Amino acid sequence: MDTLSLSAAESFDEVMEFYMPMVYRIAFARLANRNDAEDVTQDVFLRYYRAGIIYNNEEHRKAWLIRCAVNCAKNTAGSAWNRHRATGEFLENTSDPDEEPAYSDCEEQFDKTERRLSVMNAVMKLPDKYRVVIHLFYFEDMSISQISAATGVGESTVKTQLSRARKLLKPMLSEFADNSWEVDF
Amino acid sequence: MNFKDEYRKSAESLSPDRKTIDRMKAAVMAEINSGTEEKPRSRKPLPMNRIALIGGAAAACAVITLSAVAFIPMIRNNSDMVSEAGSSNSSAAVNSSYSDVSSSSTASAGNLPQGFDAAGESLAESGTIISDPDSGSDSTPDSANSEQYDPTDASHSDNEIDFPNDKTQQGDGLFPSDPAVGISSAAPNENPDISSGVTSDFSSGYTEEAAITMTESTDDRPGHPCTGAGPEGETAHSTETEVYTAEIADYSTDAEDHTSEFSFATVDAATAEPDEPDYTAEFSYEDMPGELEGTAEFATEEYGSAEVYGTAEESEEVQPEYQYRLVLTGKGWLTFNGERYDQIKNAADPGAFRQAVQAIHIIDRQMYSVYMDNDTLYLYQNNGDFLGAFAKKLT
Repeated sequence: MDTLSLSAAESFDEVMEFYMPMVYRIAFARLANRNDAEDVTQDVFLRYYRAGIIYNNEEHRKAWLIRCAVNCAKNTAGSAWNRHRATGEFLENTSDPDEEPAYSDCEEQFDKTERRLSVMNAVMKLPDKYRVVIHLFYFEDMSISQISAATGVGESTVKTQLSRARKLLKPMLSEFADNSWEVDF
Repeated sequence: MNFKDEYRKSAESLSPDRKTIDRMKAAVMAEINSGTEEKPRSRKPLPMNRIALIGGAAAACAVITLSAVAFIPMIRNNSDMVSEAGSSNSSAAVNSSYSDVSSSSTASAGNLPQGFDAAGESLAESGTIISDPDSGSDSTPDSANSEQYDPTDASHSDNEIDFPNDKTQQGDGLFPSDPAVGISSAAPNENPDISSGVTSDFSSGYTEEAAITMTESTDDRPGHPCTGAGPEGETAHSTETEVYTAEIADYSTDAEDHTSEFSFATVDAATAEPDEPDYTAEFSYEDMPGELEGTAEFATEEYGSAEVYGTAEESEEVQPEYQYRLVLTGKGWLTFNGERYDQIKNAADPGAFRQAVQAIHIIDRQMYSVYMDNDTLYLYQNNGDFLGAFAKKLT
């Protein structure tokens, strides 16, 4: 990361390589569709290249990409096509690519996959704006202020959305969890 | 269960694989290499924009329509006014010239020497009426206010009036072709015969529609008041004032056939003696009674048409004739030339006075003979009846 040039044009390929999964996940968290997430990702990097901005630091670049990804996903989600299309396709690949399935503990692996599916299904059942906040907060490890700056809403709004998202997730996750599971946010 | 860990693992499982990343990178690079700039989408105008456009266009059309409806009649009226400007200009010129005449010190009601044209040709072209110089009222050449007029004198050429034929021409102090005001313009010796002069002048150039009727009337008013002539005056002259009224009905002409359009012309000629070539202008409008002046101003200012001067009566009113004016109040005092005289009770008729003046009562226009003795005024009727003596009120 430190070797990347802050100029968008000079380090474009490296930036795409490094930030493309992040942008893709943000788009998918909002759109819940792989194809749309791919389109948004390509659009974000095209904008990044054409903007030609020389960033102050790497956090600046990351914040710009997240903000652009959120806005582009929002625009795509607000399009007529997406507003009239039924959602449902997600989690085709829920397995951890780094983990080889161990046939020995097949039951344990099944439990892990089931938890991940249940968590992701629960998140995907949240409203769109909550999904993005949850993803930024729990996956990207962004603070409330950073989420507020990235999404363009107030911090109190972000807090409220997080709180409501948790309240919505808790009963949904309890359905998939055994009595031994205790959801810890 | 830690939600954060579980969510991170599930979200990482959603990350694109290597194949997907390469595909997206290739697509982005291809898009960049194609050089196609993303053009800003032309947003579809909102319905409100369309409504605003349509409404604005409709409002503009309405404004234009209303403006046209409002202005077209005005333009037509203006065009009519322009077409009538010829005659109105000539009338206005007549008025202005008439006011010039009235303000001139050399003009008198009967003489009107400004209109004199020795040749008589221009008068014939303009169709003006020439008064009879032979039957003018008497004048006194030795009067203090008199001005000798010699038609051959070049110094009087300034008073000679041009008569432009162009209807639209406005002369400053010039008489236009509109002959609403009859002007005595013939030299006494050159046109001794009024009828022949007028008829020949008009028939020379404008015989088409000219119908001139002239009436001769003899005014029985006393002679020129400035002369002191009165019923008992020893120096009484012939005091007849002959008024010639010539009416030209619808003498309509236009520029091409050298005609002009006018309705009436009135000549009140109190001219000099027939054989005397000199004119005597003894009065001016400045010395006229206020009512007459007011009438003249009214006529010249309020009316833009030459028909203002159409009748002989009106012409008589505006013509100055008398220098001395008095007002009998009937309350024991009178005003004589603006000065108040209180009646002397039980005053007797003084008898033989040598000098008398004729004064006009500016209200009922009756003539009185006034004898002045220092600050005492003796008033007589024209038949010689003594009315009373009045002493000037000292202020």
